[in-house]
Amino acid sequence: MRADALLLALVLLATGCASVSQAPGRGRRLSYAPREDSSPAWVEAPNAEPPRAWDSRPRALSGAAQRLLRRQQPRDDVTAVGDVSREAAVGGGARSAASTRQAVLDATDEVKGSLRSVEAAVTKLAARPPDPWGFSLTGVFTRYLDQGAKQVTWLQGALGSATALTEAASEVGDTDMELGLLRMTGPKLQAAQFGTLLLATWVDFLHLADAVLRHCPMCSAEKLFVDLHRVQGLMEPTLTDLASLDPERVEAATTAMPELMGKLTREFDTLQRETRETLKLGGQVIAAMQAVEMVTMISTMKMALPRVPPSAPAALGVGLAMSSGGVMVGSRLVVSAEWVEMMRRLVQAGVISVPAVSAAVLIQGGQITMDQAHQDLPKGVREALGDSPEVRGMQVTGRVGAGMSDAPKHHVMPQEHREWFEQRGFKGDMDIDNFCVRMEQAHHEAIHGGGDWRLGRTWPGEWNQFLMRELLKAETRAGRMLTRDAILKLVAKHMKDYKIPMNFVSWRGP
Amino acid sequence: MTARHPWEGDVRARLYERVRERGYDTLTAFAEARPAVPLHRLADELGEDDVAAVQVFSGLLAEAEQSLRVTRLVRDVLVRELSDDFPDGWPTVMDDDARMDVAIALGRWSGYTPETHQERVDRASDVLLSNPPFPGWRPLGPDDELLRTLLPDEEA
Repeated sequence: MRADALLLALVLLATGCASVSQAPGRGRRLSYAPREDSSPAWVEAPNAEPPRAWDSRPRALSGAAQRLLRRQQPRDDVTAVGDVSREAAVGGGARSAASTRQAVLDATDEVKGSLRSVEAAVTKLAARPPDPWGFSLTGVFTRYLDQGAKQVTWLQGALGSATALTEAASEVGDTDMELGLLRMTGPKLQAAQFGTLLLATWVDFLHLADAVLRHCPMCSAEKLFVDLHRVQGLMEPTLTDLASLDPERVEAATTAMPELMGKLTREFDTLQRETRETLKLGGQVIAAMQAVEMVTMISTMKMALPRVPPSAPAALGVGLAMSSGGVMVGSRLVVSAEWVEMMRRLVQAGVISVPAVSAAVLIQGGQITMDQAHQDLPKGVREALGDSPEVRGMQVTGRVGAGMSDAPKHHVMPQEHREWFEQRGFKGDMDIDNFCVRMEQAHHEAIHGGGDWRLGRTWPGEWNQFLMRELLKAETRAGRMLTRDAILKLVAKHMKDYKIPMNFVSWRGP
Repeated sequence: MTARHPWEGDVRARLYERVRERGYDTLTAFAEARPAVPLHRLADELGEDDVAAVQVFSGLLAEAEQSLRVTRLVRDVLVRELSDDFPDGWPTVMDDDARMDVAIALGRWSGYTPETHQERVDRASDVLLSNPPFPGWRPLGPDDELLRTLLPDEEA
């Protein structure tokens, strides 16, 4: 048994090490995703490769990513931060839309990759045969494995929606509408990003539980069951909010994530410490101890684990600083420059909010807290991530600001013609309910025939009537059913002519 | 007056204040000095934040109704729409995409046509599609010869 345990420890050490180095040929993969390459390869089979020495280089700075970084340094548009945000704000610039689309695609790919790793880990855990004494994560623990599988379903759905919207954006042929559609991916992308992070954390707990069951016969399985139940309870409300895909609930859940990660880290640390003590009491071999320790090495929370957050609120973000390589804590790279650049584009186009990106950086930097009030990043880091007065101004009217605006929502495409739009492809993610805008009641009345802005007598200029006339006449002239893209192109022109910004909100939700 | 929003304040007063600031007495004179410029660009020039294209059109229509030059304005609207959609002129090859774009432009034209001219615009649109202009046709103003044949003045 001793030999077996030693072998396991050795394998774990090898896989643990492997997780910090960049796999070759993944140049395009941005380095944020903590689980992307560190897939918890919890393999029992002896690894053919000899265990490597600890490679403590930050992943983002190794191999292909480093080359990418060098290539990206002299970007011509990096200097024009203000211009880019202005461009996005007024909707001009096909280049801005194209780079935003690329950033959405990259971010989606990144989350997809992380999710695949997590899924693989759950599958492996479920498939592990019980050890000779019959201990494994099955029986009553099966429900905890199922919990993971349940989350994967909605995460894949959210990523599928984001992809569908990005595809529609690439085909629409109108810059403003393209950016409008890309902004619609925001809540889905954000929910998937943080949902995957939580799921990865849950898998960490499952790994720890698995190690405890196998290596600590003296530990109480009942207590472990209760501990996991408590952890699940901590995650549940946030996962429910994220799974709703409602922009405001997602935003609230996201900004509370560093706090939640703080609580989860404490739970993890406690569980591990208790196991160690029990092992010590039982005089267990050092290898069993190591097996439990190793869980930490591949943990999503490894950034935070060495230093469990203080129970008293600490001033956060203190250690974080912007460097040419990315965001650093001391000499450790938290997120790479490419990741920062990707997020800057998403923030400036209004796809993702500054608080959401800040939460991601804080978590990556292990700057998790028990207190939500202390979550601001240092100014330099915030600015690198695209925060600026212009962006804040834009977000007042944009997706993120939607939560703060009480203005009622209105359908852009008239509801009474819902069927007509459905027949032309406005279904599912593209349902006309997803194309609403917030407008003050008085403004809304003005465009629907109220107010006294019309100077000519013979042209009513009423929104619905005008739009439907344009669409129906266009269809007659085309001699065939209008395509969804043609309709969006025309709707974009219509909105531009009324100066209604293309910041869409969903009819559903608050 | 700066409302910072196109749907607030006195739209008429704002329009004429901006036009006068630029040295014109009427919206028509302001627009005629900018031939073949899309309506939304005229609106942006008058007020990037607080003037909308539909408001500019409504003002132009009121003036045209007064001076009995509505047909001329209707031709002018098509010129401005075409310059927005086809900066290089009428499409060379009328494939599915080009046909869809022409259909969108003509749909927009109908949208911006007063009730009094709907039927005439329908007929003119049919002619444009059945006897298309030469590739690269790019009318530069309401006095374009082809346009005047399609939609001659009647009011005078």
